[in-house]
Amino acid sequence: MISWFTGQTILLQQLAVNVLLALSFQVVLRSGVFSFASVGFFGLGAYLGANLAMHHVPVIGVLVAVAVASWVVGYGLARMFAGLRGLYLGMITFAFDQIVVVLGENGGSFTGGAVGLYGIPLALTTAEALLLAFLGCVVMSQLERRALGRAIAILRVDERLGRAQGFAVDSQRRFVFALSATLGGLAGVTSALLTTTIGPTDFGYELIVTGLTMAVVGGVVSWAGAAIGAFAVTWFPTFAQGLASYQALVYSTLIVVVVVLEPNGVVGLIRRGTYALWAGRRRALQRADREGAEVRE
Amino acid sequence: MVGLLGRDFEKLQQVINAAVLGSIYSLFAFGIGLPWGTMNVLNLAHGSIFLLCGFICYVLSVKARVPLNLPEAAAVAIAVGVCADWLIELIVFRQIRRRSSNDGEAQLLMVIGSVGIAGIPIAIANNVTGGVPFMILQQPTHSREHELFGASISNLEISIIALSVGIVVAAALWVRFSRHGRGLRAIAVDPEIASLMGISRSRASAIVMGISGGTAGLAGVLFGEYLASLQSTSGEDLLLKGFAVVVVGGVGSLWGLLVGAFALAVGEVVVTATTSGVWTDGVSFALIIVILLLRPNGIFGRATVDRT
Repeated sequence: MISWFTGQTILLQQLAVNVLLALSFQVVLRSGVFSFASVGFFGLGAYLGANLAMHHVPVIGVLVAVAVASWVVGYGLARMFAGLRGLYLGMITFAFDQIVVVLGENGGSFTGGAVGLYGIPLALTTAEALLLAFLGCVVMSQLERRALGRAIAILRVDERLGRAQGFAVDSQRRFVFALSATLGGLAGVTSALLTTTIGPTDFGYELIVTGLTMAVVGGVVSWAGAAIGAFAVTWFPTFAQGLASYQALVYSTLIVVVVVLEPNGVVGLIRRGTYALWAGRRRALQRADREGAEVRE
Repeated sequence: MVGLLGRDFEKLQQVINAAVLGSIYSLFAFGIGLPWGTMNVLNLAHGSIFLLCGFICYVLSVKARVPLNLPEAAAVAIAVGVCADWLIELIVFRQIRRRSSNDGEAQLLMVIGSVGIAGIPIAIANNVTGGVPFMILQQPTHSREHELFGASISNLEISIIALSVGIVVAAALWVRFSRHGRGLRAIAVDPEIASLMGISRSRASAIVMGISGGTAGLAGVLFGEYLASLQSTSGEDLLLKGFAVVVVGGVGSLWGLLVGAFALAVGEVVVTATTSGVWTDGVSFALIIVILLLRPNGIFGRATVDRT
């Protein structure tokens, strides 16, 4: 077990980052908010955390600072974007990601310019990173089960209906956006502290595709989807080593296939499977009942 | 702008540069704005279709050594673009529209799907070229330069301006006055009612996507020739500028699109001429954010029709 653990260290580290990033994408998409901002917050969180760690701030302080800062910035952005819906929001968050890249390229010593930052202290252990990802899953799963989480899901189906039912739709949207920002920022700082480097190429278009792949393939309807997607994306390269250079191609194709055939991803597939099973069992029971009744007659 | 740029002929040269850049932006942004304004489809794959068209020309002329001149390459690229967008419409967008229960969800799925599609040509081009810039023809087209009050303008630049502006103006007139155009505008307001009036949504979206793909192809070849090369990230870089243009002009307004494209181009040329050049890309971001915050419907955009 321990030898397996050490052999898979890099993958486990990647898993921790991926789970956080996937949750960040999933939580906004679940509530019907078209946001790709997770990747921008990944960058912001990584730069902030890296700078704090290089100034010898203890790791818990770094994580808290990044989480708080991401929440505040995310909340501010959500306020700014309050009037935007649908495609406009998707586009402005896409632009936000690119702005963070440009800021990173031109940020002087804070970001290390186009080459990025190197020699960030290795402050986080793999176990701590996994614990953080696990905590993320716990928080998200609990949130989903509770009234607020269920109310948020209404936003995706019909915002007007939610409003008519008396839900505080606007504040819920801000909450979801800030939550996604925090998860994205934490994913970024985790990545920076585990790999000791961060640069503008680390959170470009490819990371948007990877994040979307995880959330969409797993299924945006539940945190479990994000977790499944993160597992799949993390271990995919080891199963398909010959395909390594075509990884981006495979992810892209997967997104298209899932979106067309099963928009709720693996989770949707599992749910449909269980429903079908139940329905089948119920039909069998009813048949048995009917036959039993006939026999009694 | 005038005082900043030095001597007179340099000023004129900058104006010409801005005009060429603005024309390319308008042609490219038109391919994003038309499906968005009429069919409510934000096609994030537009940039990568643009790349694909240039890339196919590169494969044909440089790799397979087919001697192509510029008009032939443009024809190939347009054909590739139209076919690619029809495929996307047929395999992805139409299926999503058919399967999803409400419009909002369909829009979300189409955006995500188009991100996926966008990755495919980029990944292929990246693997084949290794991320290095590539020329789309065997040798750059030699186009005659004309003297104009001390500044110079080439035949290529003249044709870029004429073709781009011509196509966008023609399309704006077509949407405004033709029967199909009226149908498109009806769909933009309310697809359900429009379909009750006998307007075929699938036919309209096939037309729109075909036009969009064709302009992507033309833009790919013209831009590739103008800059002398493309690379696998060219499409994504341009996509953001296309957004900026559409947003400034307002979704659904093709005249606004022209204004937005030239405003962006002038802004970029001024920034490039007065600063070190690293902030040139910042112009489009700044435009997107300022306009979306102050006037979310753009300068010329229609108010969103919202009904319950």
